[in-house]
Amino acid sequence: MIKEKLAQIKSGKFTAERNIQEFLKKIKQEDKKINSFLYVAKKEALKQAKEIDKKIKEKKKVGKLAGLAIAVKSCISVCGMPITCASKTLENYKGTFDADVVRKIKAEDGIIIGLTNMDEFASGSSGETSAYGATQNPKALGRIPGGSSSGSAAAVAADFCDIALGTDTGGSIRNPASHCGIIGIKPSYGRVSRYGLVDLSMSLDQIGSLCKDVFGAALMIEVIAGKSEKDPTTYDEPIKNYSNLKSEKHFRIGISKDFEALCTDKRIYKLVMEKTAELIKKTASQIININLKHVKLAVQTYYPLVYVEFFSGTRKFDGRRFGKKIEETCGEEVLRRILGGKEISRAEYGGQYYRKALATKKEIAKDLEEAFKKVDIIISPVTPRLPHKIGEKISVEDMYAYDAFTIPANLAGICAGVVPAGEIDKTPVGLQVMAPAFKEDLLLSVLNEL
Amino acid sequence: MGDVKIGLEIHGYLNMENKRKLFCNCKIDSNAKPNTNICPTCTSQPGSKPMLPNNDAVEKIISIGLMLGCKINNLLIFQRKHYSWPDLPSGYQRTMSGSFGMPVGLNGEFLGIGIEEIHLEEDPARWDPISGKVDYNRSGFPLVEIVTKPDFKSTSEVQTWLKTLLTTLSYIRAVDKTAGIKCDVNVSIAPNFIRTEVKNVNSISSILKAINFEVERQKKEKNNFQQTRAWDDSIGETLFMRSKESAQDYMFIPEPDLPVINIDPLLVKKIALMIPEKPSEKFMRYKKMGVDKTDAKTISSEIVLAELFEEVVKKINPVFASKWFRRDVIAAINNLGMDYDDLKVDVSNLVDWFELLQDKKASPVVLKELLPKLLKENLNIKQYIEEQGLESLSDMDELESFCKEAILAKKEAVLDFKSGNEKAINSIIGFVMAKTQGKADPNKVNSIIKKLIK
Ligand SMILES: [Zn+2]
Repeated sequence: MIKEKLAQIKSGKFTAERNIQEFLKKIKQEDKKINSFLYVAKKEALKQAKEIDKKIKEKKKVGKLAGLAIAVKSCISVCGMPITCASKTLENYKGTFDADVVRKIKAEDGIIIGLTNMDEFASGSSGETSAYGATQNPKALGRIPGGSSSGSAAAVAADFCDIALGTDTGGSIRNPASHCGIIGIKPSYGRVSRYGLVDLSMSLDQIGSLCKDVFGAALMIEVIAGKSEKDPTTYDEPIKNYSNLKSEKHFRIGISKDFEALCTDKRIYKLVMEKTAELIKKTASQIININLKHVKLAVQTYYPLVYVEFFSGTRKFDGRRFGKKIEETCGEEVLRRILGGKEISRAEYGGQYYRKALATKKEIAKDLEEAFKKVDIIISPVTPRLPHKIGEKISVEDMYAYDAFTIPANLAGICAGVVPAGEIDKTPVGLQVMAPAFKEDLLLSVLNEL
Repeated sequence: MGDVKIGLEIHGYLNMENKRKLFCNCKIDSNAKPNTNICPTCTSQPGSKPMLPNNDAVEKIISIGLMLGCKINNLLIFQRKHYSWPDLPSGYQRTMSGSFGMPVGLNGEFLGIGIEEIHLEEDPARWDPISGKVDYNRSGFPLVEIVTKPDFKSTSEVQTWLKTLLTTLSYIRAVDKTAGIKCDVNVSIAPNFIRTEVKNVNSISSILKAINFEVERQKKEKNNFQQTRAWDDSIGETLFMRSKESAQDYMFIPEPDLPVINIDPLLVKKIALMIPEKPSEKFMRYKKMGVDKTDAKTISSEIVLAELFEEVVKKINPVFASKWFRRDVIAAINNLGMDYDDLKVDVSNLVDWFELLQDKKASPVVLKELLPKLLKENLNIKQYIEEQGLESLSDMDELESFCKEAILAKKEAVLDFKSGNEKAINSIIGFVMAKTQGKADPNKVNSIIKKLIK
């Protein structure tokens, strides 16, 4: 438990150095099998750990993450470390500056233990599109861990770190959190600075946390949240002490009829509803049916936006400066998105596809806004099916449908989180809670009750 | 010239008070060593994002819009214009122009020429094709683009208009004069008005040459078609670049890293209040004061001069002031080799100078001699004249005795004068001026000598 470990480190009963040493040992022994890290920052991490222990010994003040091992997704810039985005394109590229989130973690004495595997340029939801090999699901070996924050989720599930950073554009934190049986938080759009996050879809991307317990995930959000002048899409909304979790009751829980229909594997829906029933009992809450008219359009709205923005964001990878020319070195899915984005941005279409997608995005946001007038939170499954076996061929449509439950939160800019609901076929299954934009405190207290 | 339609797209560097780039805090300094004023944002490192556009740039461009009679939009939307070139680290340029953009100003009019729009964009880096090196210092400099309607009908009209435009923009110190302007020119002729766009014309004289060349080319060309051409200054010709059909597709998208920017109407009002009178308006007003046309033109051509002059005429007769102002004050500034913007003279000292002159408290000779010192070192002229005892010699007896001395000393000149050589008196006056260290009034000396000789 993160809270207890922090207390032990701060009191000197346990040291940051030992914490890092133990994780390093475990990574060395077991990560060959899991493939969750692309880079392990052994030297840097141990050096920082010793400095923190020294501060504690000298009774100096230490930060909120003192001595904790933090794994960072390979698309978030850490100065001097290989920011490959799990692509051959950036094989030899090293970060030239710290992302805002990394700067904040370091300032709170969190220790970057390494950079995690992921779907190439975050383009995927299985972890299989990495140029450095797929990541195993530590909780269901042989199956995908989900993606695109595959390595971050697997590293947490396999006990290779305390907390991990992931990024979530259409479910990339929540989907692997669900498959790996851990907690994952996608904050509201504009809650966390994207400065230093390599672009997938700039109007949807958001950095969030993965952890085994709600406290750790909440603590990380508390550290990284906040307005930054380096990312003008961040908002000046008040940040609460998210890690100070309060017990709350009487939630009005929204459920949409469409959720069941969208669930390919009905066992998932059933499990999620059972878990919801427990919550209702425990917190004296009630279910309210809501109607989200446009949510079934989420996937088809999402992809044009991602394609177009990804096409634009990858223009800098032209082989002149950062790594190699992307079109010549990337995998199939990345290329599909670039070419798709190029096609629909062409002048002859006058931006109609992108504009149409933007218009539907607004409709979906409006649906959710309306719903949140009647309910406090919305509960849904995370993915419509169990994670497939690594290497199993699935169609592009099926691959994209993985994100049907998670995409709406990105399109609407609201916050959402995932907690384990149970297991089916010895595979973890998560439950998603969605809350209004900038109500991370509410979201976290619900997750804490689950 | 026949029936011609000409339009201009004028690009200039904004003159920034805070010397910061458009989307980051890096310094604007054209003379810095290569790649010294750079950061992750202006070199477009993976993961970098733009900051909100520099307020200074936004205010500057609003003032340009107002100066050119544009309607100012209350929303600004940047978008990405994609193209691949070694000077463009991100692969796109952030600009307000294009299908998703929202420019600062629309539908203006300046001296009879319609202004289509005015917008802001970022400058790319500087790429040297020979060495292959890229200097990112310039990457992210704020650029203004002024797009006119095709309302010009002749080169002379273009010439006068552009010169007046530059003077007018210098009034609000909006554009960096040292960096020059770049133009794209579009030209079409009767009867079909098939438009050619000529890229990269970088001086007024080249613009005129390019237009003339295009008009002749289009007259001769049998199968003229819509196209883009490049101006080659070395041979004085425009060269074919591409037809309209093969025009580059910039694949515009709204910039997702920047929110839509709201322009507070109160800010626009505030800026409008600070917009100075235009040079043409000043010229007319000076003429109405009775100022000579040449003087009015010269003084209104520079805002610094105009502002100084207007302070002076609060106390001094404008006709009197303008003569001395143009011939002596401006000449003295020019002789000092000073840039008008670097002038830091206290206006009250200059007003004192004019007062001393007007009231004949000190002689023009003394005053003219002290002018450079006053302009350069901000001399307190009244105090200085007093301390140094440089007031005009007003004591008639004293003056007469100097004149008598001169007549004795310059006997030959006296004889010359008496025999009808009027000019001979000048050397006698000169003697008095030298003796009095210029403090005597030459007119008075002249009349005393004449009286004494007769
Ligand atoms: Zn910069």
